[in-house]
Amino acid sequence: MTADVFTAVADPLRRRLLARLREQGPLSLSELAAPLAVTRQAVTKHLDALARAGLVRVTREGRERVHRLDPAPLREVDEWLRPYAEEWDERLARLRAHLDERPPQGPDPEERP
Amino acid sequence: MTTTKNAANPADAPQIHATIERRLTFDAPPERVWRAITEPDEIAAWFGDSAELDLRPGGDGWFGWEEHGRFAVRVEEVVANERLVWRWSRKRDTPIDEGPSTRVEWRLSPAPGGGTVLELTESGFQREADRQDNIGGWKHELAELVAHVDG
Repeated sequence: MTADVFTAVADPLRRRLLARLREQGPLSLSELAAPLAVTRQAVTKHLDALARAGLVRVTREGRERVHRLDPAPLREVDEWLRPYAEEWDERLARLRAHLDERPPQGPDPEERP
Repeated sequence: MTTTKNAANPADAPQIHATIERRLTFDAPPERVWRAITEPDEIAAWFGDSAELDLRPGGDGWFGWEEHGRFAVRVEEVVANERLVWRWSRKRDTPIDEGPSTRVEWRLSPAPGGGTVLELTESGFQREADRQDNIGGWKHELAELVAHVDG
Protein backbone atom coordinates (compact mmCIF):
# COMPACT_ATOMS: atom_id res chain seq x y z
CA MET A 1 0.00 0.00 0.00
CA THR A 2 1.24 3.44 -0.84
CA ALA A 3 0.67 5.83 2.04
CA ASP A 4 -0.61 9.33 1.53
CA VAL A 5 2.26 11.81 1.25
CA PHE A 6 0.25 14.37 3.25
CA THR A 7 0.04 11.93 6.13
CA ALA A 8 3.74 11.16 5.84
CA VAL A 9 4.77 14.80 6.23
CA ALA A 10 2.19 15.63 8.91
CA ASP A 11 4.54 14.32 11.60
CA PRO A 12 7.28 16.68 12.87
CA LEU A 13 9.81 13.90 13.51
CA ARG A 14 9.34 12.57 10.00
CA ARG A 15 9.90 16.05 8.61
CA ARG A 16 13.14 16.25 10.59
CA LEU A 17 14.26 12.94 9.13
CA LEU A 18 13.48 14.17 5.61
CA ALA A 19 15.31 17.44 6.25
CA ARG A 20 18.43 15.58 7.44
CA LEU A 21 18.41 13.30 4.42
CA ARG A 22 18.10 16.34 2.19
CA GLU A 23 20.91 18.22 3.90
CA GLN A 24 23.32 15.37 4.61
CA GLY A 25 22.60 12.87 1.86
CA PRO A 26 22.10 9.13 2.42
CA LEU A 27 22.32 8.05 6.08
CA SER A 28 22.18 4.83 8.06
CA LEU A 29 19.65 4.16 10.79
CA SER A 30 22.34 4.78 13.44
CA GLU A 31 23.24 8.11 11.92
CA LEU A 32 19.61 9.15 11.68
CA ALA A 33 18.75 8.07 15.22
CA ALA A 34 21.86 9.48 16.96
CA PRO A 35 20.81 13.13 17.43
CA LEU A 36 17.20 12.31 18.25
CA ALA A 37 15.81 11.72 21.71
CA VAL A 38 13.83 8.70 20.54
CA THR A 39 14.54 5.00 20.28
CA ARG A 40 15.91 3.34 17.16
CA GLN A 41 12.66 1.39 17.00
CA ALA A 42 10.68 4.62 16.81
CA VAL A 43 12.94 5.97 14.09
CA THR A 44 12.57 2.70 12.18
CA LYS A 45 8.79 2.98 12.39
CA HIS A 46 8.86 6.52 11.02
CA LEU A 47 11.31 5.58 8.26
CA ASP A 48 8.93 2.78 7.27
CA ALA A 49 6.10 5.30 7.05
CA LEU A 50 8.24 7.54 4.85
CA ALA A 51 9.21 4.57 2.69
CA ARG A 52 5.56 3.59 2.21
CA ALA A 53 4.87 7.11 0.95
CA GLY A 54 7.80 6.76 -1.46
CA LEU A 55 9.74 9.58 0.21
CA VAL A 56 12.61 7.38 1.42
CA ARG A 57 14.37 4.65 -0.54
CA VAL A 58 16.36 2.03 1.33
CA THR A 59 19.38 0.29 -0.18
CA ARG A 60 21.89 -2.10 1.31
CA GLU A 61 25.50 -0.97 1.24
CA GLY A 62 27.80 -3.56 2.77
CA ARG A 63 26.51 -4.39 6.21
CA GLU A 64 24.30 -1.31 6.48
CA ARG A 65 20.95 -0.21 5.19
CA VAL A 66 21.22 3.28 3.78
CA HIS A 67 18.30 5.68 3.58
CA ARG A 68 17.99 8.10 0.72
CA LEU A 69 15.51 10.92 0.13
CA ASP A 70 13.24 10.74 -2.89
CA PRO A 71 11.40 14.07 -3.03
CA ALA A 72 9.27 13.17 -6.07
CA PRO A 73 6.04 12.44 -4.12
CA LEU A 74 6.20 15.96 -2.66
CA ARG A 75 5.13 17.22 -6.05
CA GLU A 76 1.60 16.40 -4.96
CA VAL A 77 1.98 18.70 -1.95
CA ASP A 78 3.46 21.41 -4.12
CA GLU A 79 0.64 21.16 -6.64
CA TRP A 80 -1.97 21.45 -3.92
CA LEU A 81 -0.44 24.64 -2.51
CA ARG A 82 0.72 26.25 -5.74
CA PRO A 83 -2.54 27.97 -6.77
CA TYR A 84 -2.70 29.74 -3.38
CA ALA A 85 0.91 30.86 -3.72
CA GLU A 86 0.28 32.12 -7.24
CA GLU A 87 -2.65 34.18 -6.00
CA TRP A 88 -0.28 35.98 -3.65
CA ASP A 89 2.24 36.56 -6.41
CA GLU A 90 -0.50 38.22 -8.45
CA ARG A 91 -1.79 40.30 -5.53
CA LEU A 92 1.68 41.48 -4.55
CA ALA A 93 2.44 42.40 -8.16
CA ARG A 94 -0.70 44.55 -8.11
CA LEU A 95 0.37 46.08 -4.78
CA ARG A 96 3.72 46.98 -6.33
CA ALA A 97 2.01 48.57 -9.34
CA HIS A 98 -0.35 50.44 -7.02
CA LEU A 99 2.55 51.84 -4.95
CA ASP A 100 4.41 52.91 -8.08
CA GLU A 101 1.36 54.84 -9.25
CA ARG A 102 1.20 56.89 -6.07
CA PRO A 103 4.71 57.89 -5.01
CA PRO A 104 5.35 58.56 -1.30
CA GLN A 105 6.22 62.24 -1.93
CA GLY A 106 2.57 63.06 -2.61
CA PRO A 107 0.48 64.98 -0.09
CA ASP A 108 -1.00 62.92 2.69
CA PRO A 109 -4.55 64.10 3.41
CA GLU A 110 -4.38 62.64 6.93
CA GLU A 111 -1.54 64.93 7.87
CA ARG A 112 -3.14 68.06 6.36
CA PRO A 113 -6.50 68.61 7.95
CA MET B 1 6.52 30.62 13.63
CA THR B 2 3.51 30.30 15.83
CA THR B 3 0.85 27.75 15.22
CA THR B 4 -2.72 28.86 15.58
CA LYS B 5 -5.79 26.84 16.27
CA ASN B 6 -8.83 27.07 14.13
CA ALA B 7 -11.85 26.47 16.29
CA ALA B 8 -14.05 25.88 13.28
CA ASN B 9 -12.43 22.58 12.43
CA PRO B 10 -13.50 19.31 13.96
CA ALA B 11 -10.86 18.25 16.43
CA ASP B 12 -11.11 14.59 15.51
CA ALA B 13 -10.10 14.91 11.86
CA PRO B 14 -6.37 14.62 11.22
CA GLN B 15 -5.27 17.82 9.56
CA ILE B 16 -2.05 19.14 8.23
CA HIS B 17 -1.40 22.84 8.04
CA ALA B 18 0.61 24.38 5.28
CA THR B 19 2.19 27.80 4.96
CA ILE B 20 2.97 30.14 2.09
CA GLU B 21 5.77 32.65 2.50
CA ARG B 22 6.74 35.56 0.31
CA ARG B 23 9.37 38.26 0.71
CA LEU B 24 9.80 41.26 -1.51
CA THR B 25 11.12 44.80 -1.52
CA PHE B 26 9.30 47.98 -2.49
CA ASP B 27 10.77 51.40 -3.29
CA ALA B 28 8.06 53.04 -1.16
CA PRO B 29 8.75 53.57 2.56
CA PRO B 30 7.03 51.43 5.23
CA GLU B 31 4.51 54.18 6.04
CA ARG B 32 3.31 54.19 2.45
CA VAL B 33 3.10 50.38 2.22
CA TRP B 34 1.29 50.35 5.57
CA ARG B 35 -1.43 52.62 4.20
CA ALA B 36 -1.77 50.44 1.12
CA ILE B 37 -2.43 47.36 3.23
CA THR B 38 -4.60 48.93 5.94
CA GLU B 39 -6.83 51.65 4.45
CA PRO B 40 -9.96 50.23 2.80
CA ASP B 41 -9.79 52.52 -0.25
CA GLU B 42 -6.16 51.59 -0.75
CA ILE B 43 -6.80 47.87 -0.25
CA ALA B 44 -9.64 47.98 -2.76
CA ALA B 45 -7.29 49.50 -5.33
CA TRP B 46 -5.09 46.41 -5.57
CA PHE B 47 -6.36 43.53 -3.45
CA GLY B 48 -9.94 43.17 -4.60
CA ASP B 49 -12.75 45.41 -5.73
CA SER B 50 -13.98 46.65 -2.36
CA ALA B 51 -12.93 46.41 1.28
CA GLU B 52 -13.87 47.26 4.85
CA LEU B 53 -11.43 46.93 7.72
CA ASP B 54 -11.74 47.93 11.36
CA LEU B 55 -8.04 48.32 12.10
CA ARG B 56 -7.73 47.10 15.69
CA PRO B 57 -7.33 43.67 17.28
CA GLY B 58 -10.69 41.91 17.05
CA GLY B 59 -11.91 44.36 14.41
CA ASP B 60 -14.02 42.89 11.63
CA GLY B 61 -14.13 43.61 7.94
CA TRP B 62 -14.36 42.02 4.54
CA PHE B 63 -12.68 41.95 1.17
CA GLY B 64 -14.95 41.91 -1.85
CA TRP B 65 -14.58 40.73 -5.43
CA GLU B 66 -17.28 41.32 -7.99
CA GLU B 67 -16.77 37.83 -9.34
CA HIS B 68 -16.27 35.93 -6.11
CA GLY B 69 -18.28 37.73 -3.43
CA ARG B 70 -17.25 38.93 0.01
CA PHE B 71 -14.81 37.22 2.34
CA ALA B 72 -14.90 37.99 6.06
CA VAL B 73 -11.75 39.30 7.74
CA ARG B 74 -10.87 39.68 11.42
CA VAL B 75 -7.87 41.69 12.56
CA GLU B 76 -5.65 39.97 15.14
CA GLU B 77 -2.62 42.24 15.59
CA VAL B 78 -1.76 45.81 14.62
CA VAL B 79 1.64 47.47 15.07
CA ALA B 80 1.58 50.57 12.88
CA ASN B 81 4.05 50.50 9.97
CA GLU B 82 5.50 47.20 11.20
CA ARG B 83 3.12 44.35 11.62
CA LEU B 84 -0.43 43.44 10.66
CA VAL B 85 -2.14 40.12 11.20
CA TRP B 86 -5.59 39.20 10.05
CA ARG B 87 -7.50 36.03 9.53
CA TRP B 88 -9.81 35.62 6.56
CA SER B 89 -12.50 33.20 5.70
CA ARG B 90 -11.89 30.54 3.08
CA LYS B 91 -15.57 30.59 2.12
CA ARG B 92 -17.48 33.48 0.66
CA ASP B 93 -20.19 35.19 2.68
CA THR B 94 -19.28 33.11 5.72
CA PRO B 95 -18.69 34.72 9.12
CA ILE B 96 -15.12 34.26 10.31
CA ASP B 97 -16.19 32.06 13.22
CA GLU B 98 -18.34 29.76 11.14
CA GLY B 99 -15.94 28.23 8.66
CA PRO B 100 -12.31 27.54 7.89
CA SER B 101 -9.99 30.50 7.71
CA THR B 102 -6.32 31.21 7.13
CA ARG B 103 -4.07 33.65 8.94
CA VAL B 104 -2.15 36.29 7.04
CA GLU B 105 0.79 38.03 8.66
CA TRP B 106 2.42 41.12 7.12
CA ARG B 107 5.78 42.25 8.43
CA LEU B 108 7.25 45.52 7.18
CA SER B 109 10.78 46.74 7.78
CA PRO B 110 12.84 49.57 6.32
CA ALA B 111 15.03 48.60 3.37
CA PRO B 112 18.30 50.36 2.56
CA GLY B 113 17.63 53.42 0.40
CA GLY B 114 14.28 54.25 1.96
CA GLY B 115 12.26 51.32 0.68
CA THR B 116 10.41 48.57 2.45
CA VAL B 117 10.95 44.86 2.90
CA LEU B 118 7.65 43.03 3.08
CA GLU B 119 7.51 39.53 4.48
CA LEU B 120 4.16 37.85 4.10
CA THR B 121 3.05 34.55 5.59
CA GLU B 122 -0.28 32.88 5.03
CA SER B 123 -0.74 29.88 7.28
CA GLY B 124 -3.44 27.41 8.12
CA PHE B 125 -4.14 25.89 4.71
CA GLN B 126 -5.62 22.62 5.65
CA ARG B 127 -6.01 19.30 4.10
CA GLU B 128 -7.19 16.16 5.78
CA ALA B 129 -4.71 13.34 5.82
CA ASP B 130 -6.24 10.08 4.69
CA ARG B 131 -5.29 8.07 7.75
CA GLN B 132 -5.41 8.60 11.49
CA ASP B 133 -2.02 9.99 12.36
CA ASN B 134 -0.22 12.73 14.16
CA ILE B 135 -1.27 16.27 13.53
CA GLY B 136 1.52 18.66 12.76
CA GLY B 137 2.22 22.11 11.43
CA TRP B 138 4.44 22.36 8.41
CA LYS B 139 7.65 24.19 8.88
CA HIS B 140 10.47 25.62 6.85
CA GLU B 141 12.09 22.31 6.20
CA LEU B 142 9.07 21.15 4.27
CA ALA B 143 8.95 24.31 2.20
CA GLU B 144 12.60 23.71 1.39
CA LEU B 145 11.88 20.14 0.47
CA VAL B 146 9.08 21.17 -1.82
CA ALA B 147 11.33 23.79 -3.42
CA HIS B 148 13.90 21.03 -3.82
CA VAL B 149 11.43 19.03 -5.90
CA ASP B 150 11.16 21.73 -8.52
CA GLY B 151 14.76 22.88 -8.23
